[in-house]
Amino acid sequence: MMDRRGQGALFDATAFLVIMLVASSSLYAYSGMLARETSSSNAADEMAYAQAMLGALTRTTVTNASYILGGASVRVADAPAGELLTEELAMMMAGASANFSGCNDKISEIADALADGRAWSLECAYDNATLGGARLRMGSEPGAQRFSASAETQMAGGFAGRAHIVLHVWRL
Amino acid sequence: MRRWDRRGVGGFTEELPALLVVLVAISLFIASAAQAYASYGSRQAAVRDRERVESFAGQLCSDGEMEWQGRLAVFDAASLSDANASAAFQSRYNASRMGFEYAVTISDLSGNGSWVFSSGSGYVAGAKVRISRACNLAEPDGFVRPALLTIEAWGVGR
Repeated sequence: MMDRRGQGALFDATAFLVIMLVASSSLYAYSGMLARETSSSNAADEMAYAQAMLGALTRTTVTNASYILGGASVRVADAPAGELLTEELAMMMAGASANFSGCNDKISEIADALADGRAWSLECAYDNATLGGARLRMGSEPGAQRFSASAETQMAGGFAGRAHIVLHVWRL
Repeated sequence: MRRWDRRGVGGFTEELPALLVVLVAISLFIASAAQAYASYGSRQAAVRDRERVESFAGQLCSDGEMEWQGRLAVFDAASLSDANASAAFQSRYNASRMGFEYAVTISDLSGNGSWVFSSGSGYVAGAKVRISRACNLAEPDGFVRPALLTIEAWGVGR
């Protein structure tokens, strides 16, 4: 072309290049996103792990656990961790000012072993419309991107209803 | 014939750079599209492989020969220690029927050892898929210990 518009074809080609660059960038970002999703630990796998870990933790027998009540150490009979947690909640509901760190340390040791390198946080809660509620927590402060599993179990100590146990796990 | 003057450039002198720019643009796009397609394909394959191994883990957790009193993901320590356990495992989970090779490890997290069941031939080559699941080991008296089930599988996508 030889007219006053000058270099029209080159301008069109440059506009085409810009459009193609935008399209290519989108495709490149998409393939990068797919690669991240393919990484060995995807969200579904971590959710499944959290669920399996919560089940395994609550079933595991805790041995040689004790708590301190009124300055005296009280030995707890060997029992599944899930039962110990509800018994702790029941004692809290009954107003016993006991120090459960001995029991909780034992449960934490089991959770550390089951976590397979992950960080974890365990929360147990019981709520009663008339008597109020009790809560206990152990483990690390939950991470921003965490995967959670929950379970309900029969409350101990003759309290009606069920206790709620939630486990969070996340990669460090 | 002149191809340029003060009013502009025309003909072959202008069209060749324009053609080059277009070719560069098309090449970039084709390369990106090819990469995205390859990523999509490999992701689909990885997800499929992982699902097969996860399904295998689910089968193991509910295996009637290994579980304790029919409880999901609670393995009977006595059954695992049985002298014929490895042969029986290989027979139930035959590698050719499963479609991949594997090494299954059930580790007692209380420090009392581990049990390894493998498909026989051992790792040769190829991408490995590894998954782990928290589980338990139960003694005959009902004492339950923490354990970890780890599955390494290879040749899954063949």
